Amino acid sequence: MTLRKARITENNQMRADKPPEPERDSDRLQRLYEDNLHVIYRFIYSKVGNREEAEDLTSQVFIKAVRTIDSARGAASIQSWLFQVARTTIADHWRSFYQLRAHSLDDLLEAGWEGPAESGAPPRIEPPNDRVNRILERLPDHYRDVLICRFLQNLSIKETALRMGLSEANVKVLQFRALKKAGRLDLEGL
Amino acid sequence: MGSHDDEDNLISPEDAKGPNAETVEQYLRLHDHIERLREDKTPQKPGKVTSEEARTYQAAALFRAATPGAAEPSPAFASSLRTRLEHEIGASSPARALRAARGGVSRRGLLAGGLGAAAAAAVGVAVGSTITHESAKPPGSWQTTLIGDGAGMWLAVATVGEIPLGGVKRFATDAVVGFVRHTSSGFEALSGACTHMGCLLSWNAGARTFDCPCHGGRFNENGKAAPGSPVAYSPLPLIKAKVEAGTVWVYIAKSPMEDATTTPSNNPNGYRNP
Repeated sequence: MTLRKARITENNQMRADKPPEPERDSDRLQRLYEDNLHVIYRFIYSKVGNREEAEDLTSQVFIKAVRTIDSARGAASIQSWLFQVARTTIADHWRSFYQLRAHSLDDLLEAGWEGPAESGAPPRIEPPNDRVNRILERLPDHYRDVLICRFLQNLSIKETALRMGLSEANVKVLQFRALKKAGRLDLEGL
Repeated sequence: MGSHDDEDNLISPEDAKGPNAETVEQYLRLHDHIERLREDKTPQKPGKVTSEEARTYQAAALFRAATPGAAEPSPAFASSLRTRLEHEIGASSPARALRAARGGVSRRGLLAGGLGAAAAAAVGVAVGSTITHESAKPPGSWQTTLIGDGAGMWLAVATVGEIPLGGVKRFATDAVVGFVRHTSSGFEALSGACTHMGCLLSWNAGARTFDCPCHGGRFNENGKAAPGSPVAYSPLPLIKAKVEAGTVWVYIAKSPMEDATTTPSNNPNGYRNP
């Protein structure tokens, strides 16, 4: 009956229309994108700290990746190759953002990046939150508290000042020193 | 307590002296930077910095990423990037690039893509093929009808009883995806493809809107662009609908796969075409 015919589900329709193509661009994109979007986005976000830039750079990484997917064949895995693309994308971004010399950039890039970028051995990327916890453990109490308030609990300066019994000006000084120390610890790979 | 480490944390006037003196400007600059990050906005460039300062800013980014929920891609971003990548792949073949340049999308090409959004877009494009001339026009407030008289066929998509007053039911056929609505003035039908890029809309019963998963397009229950839509996209085309024998019929494009299943429509009871 016509009535039943009209109730073809979307899935059935997809199956009926989908040609059995041997070409599997789509599967590669699926692997490339679906499997890696979150981990790459998180990595990039931990380098820029805001959504606007994270979305922009993540788009750049995946568009580059799609355009040059053939160069991924030699990589140990699609994911490690994607991280390499992300790394160079971030380096380019930082070059303009911080106006730093190249070797200083290398220092920054090494943070959270374990293992050589050689072919064969996929780099080990430590999840940003593990790095944060490692750093927090090593910080003096004041520093740890101010960073927990300001970032992990996302409190305003005012709320933080109330919580810690400090003036707002003091909180600004304290967060500066805490992040400075945190940056040093991160570099040391502690 | 009273250790050297603790004293190091306290704010004392000594910090304002010496070769590594910190300045109030530095505190404020980092503070502004952090506040921008908390708003999820691009911060101002700090200017030329030492590597120590750069590391401090990096630490701010790292800690910001530890704010619960901050470092997760938004669903809207995830699906819009996926759509861009689909286009990127499509553009690598000359024939598809040509179609892309003309503003069209290859249904077959996208179907072969197999990704959710692409698949959704593809079915939408089947609809789109009949309304190409409209989608080329700038967004307007007028609403077109998908298939004109004589060009299509009537198809039963629901029984009257299964859609209560105010209810909405989705239907899908070989040629079209749409929604049937039961309004105070009878049954109406709308195309279910976003007029932006043809992705398939879903009915949001809470907000009473049709929402697009690809770029956040929103249409109200009459098919007009709704508040919250990033752009006021063209209204959803109407699909002619009628009630006959306790059944809701919609007028859709003839499927190439069948011939004369058109139902006689000499009694367009309840049929409305505003």
